[in-house]
Amino acid sequence: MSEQTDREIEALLAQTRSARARLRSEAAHELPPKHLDDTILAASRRAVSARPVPARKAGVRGWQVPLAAAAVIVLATSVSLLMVREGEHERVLAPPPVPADASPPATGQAAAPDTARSGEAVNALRDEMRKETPRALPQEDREKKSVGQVVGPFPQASQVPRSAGRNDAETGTTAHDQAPAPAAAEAERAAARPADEGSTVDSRIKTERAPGSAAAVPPQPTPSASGPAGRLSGAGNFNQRKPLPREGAKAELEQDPASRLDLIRKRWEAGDRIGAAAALAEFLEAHPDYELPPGYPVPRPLLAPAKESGPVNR
Amino acid sequence: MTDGAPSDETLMLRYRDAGDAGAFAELYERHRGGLYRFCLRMCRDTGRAEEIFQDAWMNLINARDRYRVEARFKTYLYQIAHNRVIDVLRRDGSGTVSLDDEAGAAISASLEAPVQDQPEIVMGRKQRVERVAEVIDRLPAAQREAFLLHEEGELTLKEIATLTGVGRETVKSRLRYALVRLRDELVGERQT
Repeated sequence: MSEQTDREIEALLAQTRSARARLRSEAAHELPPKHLDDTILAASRRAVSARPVPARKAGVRGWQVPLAAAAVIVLATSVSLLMVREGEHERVLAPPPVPADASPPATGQAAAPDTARSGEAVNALRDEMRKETPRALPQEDREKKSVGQVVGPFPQASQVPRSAGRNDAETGTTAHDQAPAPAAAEAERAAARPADEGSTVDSRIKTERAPGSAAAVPPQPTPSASGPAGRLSGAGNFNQRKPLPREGAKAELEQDPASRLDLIRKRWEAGDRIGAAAALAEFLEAHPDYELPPGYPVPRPLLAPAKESGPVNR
Repeated sequence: MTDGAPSDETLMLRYRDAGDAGAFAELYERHRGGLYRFCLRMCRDTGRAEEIFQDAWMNLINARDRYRVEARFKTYLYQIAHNRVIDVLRRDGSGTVSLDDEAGAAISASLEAPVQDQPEIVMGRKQRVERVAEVIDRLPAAQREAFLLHEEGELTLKEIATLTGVGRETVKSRLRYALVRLRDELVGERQT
């Protein structure tokens, strides 16, 4: 049905083709009047002219301003970075300033503030090198370091004695004696040594307390011989000056015997066994008749005068 | 449309998106005659045809943002005109307005050309156009519309069916009937 209709329509179109062509050719002159054309075309232009700006021109203007701004920003940043890098480069290439007083002082003269500052810098550098290679230091340097950094190639100005060389020559003291607290320095040095070396203080006490040694080495006629520091420094080969007693020892002296023993025990339990032993020896010397409480942790010195200890010189 | 020339859809999109008034002028130039004759044959009144013609184009201009390339631009344009014709015919209550004198006057006015100034040529052309116009005018409105959309709009049967809202077979039937009537009239004219 549909195909038949299509064929029929095709036949009718062919039969009327000439008539339709004539109609089209004749009717081609049937056009709208001129005023309609003008009205419609004007309306079409008016409709699009109401729009803000043609897209093409707006696009051109739209990307020109951001592009210019971006170019300026990139240029300014590049120049700034270039200047910074050139400054760093010149700084690296320039020879490092060598201060005239950077070398360590040959004598014990007082160091200038500049020298102190440069010494601080060198010490900081040395600390860093020490952190990196701690085992590269010789044993002697490590021992010196353990006594408080008294000796060094670039000591601090405050650490350099003004007449250290003269004092050494005249009094025969060593750098260890310049420490403000000989007992503490001695304790540190003893702690730095191997444990099998024993207690130096104990041996000194032993030497002092021994009757034979007392005869061999006459006691120094100093009024402070009864003090702990004076007693420790009373040996001939030790410092003859009397260092100030520590605050803790002074406090111990002013306390009653029970409190002193308690403090000594606390020092022992805290790990300061040498100091505790020395303090106990001192205590027993001051209180020879005082009996230690049973189970007292600090061992009695062998040379300490005690009734129950019997003859000490074995 | 010649090869290389932009299509109707491209021109309409250019006018819609870029506001290219030149593209619209090109579109108008392509379709002004066919649409005007469609309106003229459908209304059989020059004044109403011009009204419908102008309304169709103005609707296209004002509703350009709603244009979508879902069909040929010609279908879209004739759809607007078709709807407007229906409105006008309903408003006037009848589609039986004669084209006699007004159409002849309009056609005569549009045939003002220097080479065609000879009276016998003008008269003979006028008579042939009037005869064809009379044949078309005697067609029922639906058949006339199907014939005019096929002849002036150069729409396919499917496009006419979509535009008028009827089936394709219905459009074929209407078109076949219109062509038979036109053939019979033209044969009788030759015989007389």
